[in-house]
Amino acid sequence: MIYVYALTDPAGAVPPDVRGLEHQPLGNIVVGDVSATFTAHAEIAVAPVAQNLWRHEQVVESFMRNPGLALLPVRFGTTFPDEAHLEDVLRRNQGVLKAGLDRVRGCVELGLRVSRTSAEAAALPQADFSTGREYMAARLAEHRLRCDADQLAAELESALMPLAREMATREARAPQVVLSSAFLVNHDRAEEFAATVRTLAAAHPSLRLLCTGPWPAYHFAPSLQLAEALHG
Amino acid sequence: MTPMRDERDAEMEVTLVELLDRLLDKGVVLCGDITLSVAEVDLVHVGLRVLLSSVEAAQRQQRRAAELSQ
Repeated sequence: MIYVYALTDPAGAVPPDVRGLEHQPLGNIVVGDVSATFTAHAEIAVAPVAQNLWRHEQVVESFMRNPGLALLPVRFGTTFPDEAHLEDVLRRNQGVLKAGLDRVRGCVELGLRVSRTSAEAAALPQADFSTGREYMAARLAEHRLRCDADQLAAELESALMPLAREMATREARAPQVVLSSAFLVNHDRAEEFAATVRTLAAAHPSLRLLCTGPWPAYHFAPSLQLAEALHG
Repeated sequence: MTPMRDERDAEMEVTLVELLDRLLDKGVVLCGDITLSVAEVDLVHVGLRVLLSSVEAAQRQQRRAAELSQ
């Protein structure tokens, strides 16, 4: 069984000083314009625990030492029975994968999570109501907060988008979250992007802006149709 | 715990959530088997919601792959 970590340009040599899950040495297989990095295992069922997640990430990020190399991270937990099965999928999806590598070449992903500060979050409507009037007032307050959040998010995005090639916005999971986005940024503009986030943070003291990365371009990886990937 | 420590812990939690969100829910799905063992999950609580939704997604994907390979 093989466990797959990343896809790169064929020039992406496997880093010799990095080991994969279960400390296995990395191998790679090249099909056309795509190289896949993997480790071989007798049997593997990967627990999504911090140690394994960081090991997977370490392997993927080891390719970021070469900023000119196009890199697509593979979903955690992806396995194939053997190299032949992986080779088949790479061959059948060559066009999509090559286009995916071209899309992210020279770029890194930067995450931005914007939330209200603790004091602001404490002012959010509470969930317990004794009357219908209180309920409606809370819903109205929530709606106004959401409108405010949308306006703030648009303002932040317009300041950052000139520095990015693409943006992917994630659905906010909690009311205190104003914005949760991933930006595809040219490698040489990453520091400028982070500096702009710091400037925005200073201009919005009621918000907490957290910029993470540089990450491999997880949010900008191509989507393969399952049926096409399996059967061509 | 000092406010500065609180802030640093919060940032570490957010970074871990960001990692989970990417590894379990993003990246190229090559449509091999997504082989996850969830019996010994000991991820910190901040990631649990992301983790559960992603494991459910992986299980759905496995079922679809099994149906298509029949």
